[in-house]
Amino acid sequence: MKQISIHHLLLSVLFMVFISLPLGIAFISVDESVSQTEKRKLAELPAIDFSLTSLEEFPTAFDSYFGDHFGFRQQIVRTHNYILVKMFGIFLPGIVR
Amino acid sequence: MVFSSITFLFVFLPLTIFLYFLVGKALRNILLLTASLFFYAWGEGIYVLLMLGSIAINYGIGFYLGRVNEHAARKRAVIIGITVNLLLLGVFKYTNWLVDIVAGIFPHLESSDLLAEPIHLPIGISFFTFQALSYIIDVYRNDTEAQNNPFHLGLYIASFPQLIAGPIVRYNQVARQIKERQHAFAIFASGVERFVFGLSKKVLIANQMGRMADLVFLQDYTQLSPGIAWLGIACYTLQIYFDFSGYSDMAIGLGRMFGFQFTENFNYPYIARSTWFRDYLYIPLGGNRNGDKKTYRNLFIVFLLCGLWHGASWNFVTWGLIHGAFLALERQWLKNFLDRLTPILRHFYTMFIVVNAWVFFRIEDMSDAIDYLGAMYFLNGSSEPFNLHIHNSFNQLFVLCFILGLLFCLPIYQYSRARVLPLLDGRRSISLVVESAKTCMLFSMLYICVSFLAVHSYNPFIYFRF
Repeated sequence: MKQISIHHLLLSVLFMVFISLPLGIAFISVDESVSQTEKRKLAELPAIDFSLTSLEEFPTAFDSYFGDHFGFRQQIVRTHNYILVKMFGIFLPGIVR
Repeated sequence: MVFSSITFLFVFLPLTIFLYFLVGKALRNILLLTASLFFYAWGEGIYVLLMLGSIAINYGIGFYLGRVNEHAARKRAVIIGITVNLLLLGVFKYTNWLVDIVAGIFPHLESSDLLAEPIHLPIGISFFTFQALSYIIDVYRNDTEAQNNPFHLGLYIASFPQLIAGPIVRYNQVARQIKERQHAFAIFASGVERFVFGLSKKVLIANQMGRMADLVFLQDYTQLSPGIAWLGIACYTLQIYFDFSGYSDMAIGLGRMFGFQFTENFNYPYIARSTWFRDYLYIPLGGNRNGDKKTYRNLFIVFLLCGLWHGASWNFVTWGLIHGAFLALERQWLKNFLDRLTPILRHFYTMFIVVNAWVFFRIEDMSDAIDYLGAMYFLNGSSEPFNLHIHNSFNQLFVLCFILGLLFCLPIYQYSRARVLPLLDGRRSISLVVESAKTCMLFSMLYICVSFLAVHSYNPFIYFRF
């Protein structure tokens, strides 16, 4: 019973660490403007001025920004490319080998 | 915001969980409601006010029903409540369709003459309206007590785990949990497990199947070969199942993380429990209690409305009616024949009907749908057996996901769980190995899902018409 509890504790803590680290790392690291792995300009942090238009556009712009800047992104993108290229032999445009 | 997005996984979810367990017990529901409204506003902006309006109206109706005993007054109140909810749904979901119908009947009219701009369909409106209806009807029937706390009712209607893609939860199933729920690592961990399984179903199977289905459905159906047409509809069938079942798993998993135990609404294909239509429409219409004719009428009404619930257009009506027609046929003529078949043949029969009906669910234009069915059954004459786009996408990853899709729509997981778990009873060392292997597998799946989401790979949201 105790082992099962340890398993549950471990699973819960690891999950929280897994989903929290990318935000934490993004928060403390300096934003890059260009991705060397993907050879493209990364999205910028959107400004917000509390007008209705700005508030409506902010979520999409923030999704793009955070999608480009979250912690461990480069490693995760490399994993994706590795899975596609090395494991399945798929070469998609935009994937840097 | 959708669950299968980087912002949800790495910003919204960790912050909400941290804050939820950080604030005192008394503030948890308010926090969860605030987070849910933020979640909705992130994607739907100002339309969050519509949801707040729905909460306010249904709270008012419930509050009144809870205090009045006179039957006629209660009946009036519940009729007003149902009407307002259905009007809300009707205006936002069906106006554009009705305008198109009127414009079609009167050829000199354009849709823009009747409606300056198409009305935006707020995501999830069918889900939260049906939940609200469930609440006021249950209070009217005295199946549950009226909720005095507006935040608690708001949480029932707007709670983010099941807000945009269900499952529809009946109020009396969660009323007690809203007030008092249990938190434990075991419950949280089971939620994590369920959430990761759901996310994997969505990202690793549904999205891969959806990519192929979209490619096929983009082609000219009159030139489609039967093989490609069947491939397209098979992929679409798997996409729908794994998308719906994945979203349900994620919703149930997220619910458990916050202490909710949502009822299971989905099983292996195609056993989704449509209890809402049964309890609030089929049975009140008389169900099967008033003879064959009325039973068939009730079945047709239920499935007509079930089709319309999925989207405001004729193809959804057709899809619903096909299901209603086959249920009626089975009751009247096919039952004896089907009963004589082996279970596996009965499954094949059901899947055959369901898969063919998905053509109408997918293709809005009726003549296009007929062309597609024609392609499936060699009726279109000339066809192109080779298609470069589809050939290029028919890679090893697709084949693997397709096979996994076929395997996991069978009850393999439930079957192996039921057989493996009893073997582990009392065997600590083996149990530890199995649990550790499962944890490693879960995190590998989560990491792979995130890697697919990180590169903005194909990630459709197929509930935008619900």
